[in-house]
Amino acid sequence: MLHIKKRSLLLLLLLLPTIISSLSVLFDSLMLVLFATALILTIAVRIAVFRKYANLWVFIMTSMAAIPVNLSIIFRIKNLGIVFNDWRLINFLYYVLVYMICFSAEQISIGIATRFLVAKQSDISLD
Amino acid sequence: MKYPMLKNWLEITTINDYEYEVYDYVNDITMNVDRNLISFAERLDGKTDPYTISNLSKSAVNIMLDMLDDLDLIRYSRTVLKDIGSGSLVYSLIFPPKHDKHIKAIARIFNVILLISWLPILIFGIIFVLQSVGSISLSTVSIIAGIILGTLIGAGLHEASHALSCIAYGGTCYEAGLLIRHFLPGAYVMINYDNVKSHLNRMQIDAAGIQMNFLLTGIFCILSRWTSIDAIGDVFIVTALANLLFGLMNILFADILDGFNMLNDLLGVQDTGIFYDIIENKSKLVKDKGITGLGFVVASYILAICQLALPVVIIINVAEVILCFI
Repeated sequence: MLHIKKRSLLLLLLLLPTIISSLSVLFDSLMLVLFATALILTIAVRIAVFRKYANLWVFIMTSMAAIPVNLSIIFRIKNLGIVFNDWRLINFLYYVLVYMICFSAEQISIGIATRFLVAKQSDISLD
Repeated sequence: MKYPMLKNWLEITTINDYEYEVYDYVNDITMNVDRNLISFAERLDGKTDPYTISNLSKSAVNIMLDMLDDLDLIRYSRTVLKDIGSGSLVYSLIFPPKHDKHIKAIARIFNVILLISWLPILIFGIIFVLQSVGSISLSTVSIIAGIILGTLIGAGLHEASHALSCIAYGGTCYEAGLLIRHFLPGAYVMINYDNVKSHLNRMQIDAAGIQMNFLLTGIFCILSRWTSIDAIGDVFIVTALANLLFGLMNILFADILDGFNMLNDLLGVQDTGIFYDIIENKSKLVKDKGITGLGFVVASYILAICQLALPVVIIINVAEVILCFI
């Protein structure tokens, strides 16, 4: 029972940055975005079970937390009237590409910061 | 290449007076080879007739060439590594010299300059262009010239940056050339940085190409406003844009792109095939490793979704080309 409670707590911690980033979009707050980023790094660095694979957990948390932020970027581009292509399907694919570029840039940036903070981590392996 | 040549991705070390240990980096094979055979092989540089190399008889040279061929240690053309996937071909162009201390020093200086300058120059270049440009009207000639210039300079310096960064951190660059991978044209460098242990240094080697593209974006943005000839300025703008797009496309987490390699260095992944193994064994992993196993599985699925980036890019490019004619 205690084991299940601990696991539930850890999963809730993983979702917390996503909740904060959703609020940042709702309130249009850059400070909350920065707070969510700091929270991701803090959770990965300070909690022992995550620290061993800090970059892995930062990757997962950032993947979730970036969803509302990147979607808001896409909608801002759309609201500015920027059209990449007159065909709706191709225009949609451009938005997908923009999302993926933002996602990659965010992951690499926060990944580098994590490696600086936690230099000693285990490599991902099946063993 | 007129004559056979010893493959340049072999690492040869002395074992004793009679044998060398030869490590084939591409095939990941190690073998012991007779000293005389290696001494002969090392003189095969592709430009020298093997029958003029030593005092050996013609039949003896033929026997040696056959032995080297059986061991897969020599090559007869610049087109090798054909078995790298459907619609793929590699053509070697450049075989760098041995990495002596001067080359390593130049590589280190280059790497440091690249590391500290790419972002400020990119930002400055973009701001400089945006502040000084009212509206842009580009001719077709400018666009074509800019794309060609951007591709040649961008691709060439992109790969050179990977090579120099690798040498700076103690790795080895075996060769550079042109390639077609799954029908997509490109350039390549064959580098080995297995001996580079630091994850951040490995990541920098993978990132060096993208950093160079962004640096070129900034430089060409600045140059486009410095020139008094509008036509040249327009070409430079397109060159800058081409490099910006190269850089942005390359950070995506699709398998053949630099972004994927950078992410693997950060995550601590040695073999990228592990993600498929993780998905195949997901139940067992979660059962054995608990929340860590769950993390492996979730990350693997996220990366599997990221592989859609390449088809999206290809579809967009094909669609844009088709729409030019409609």
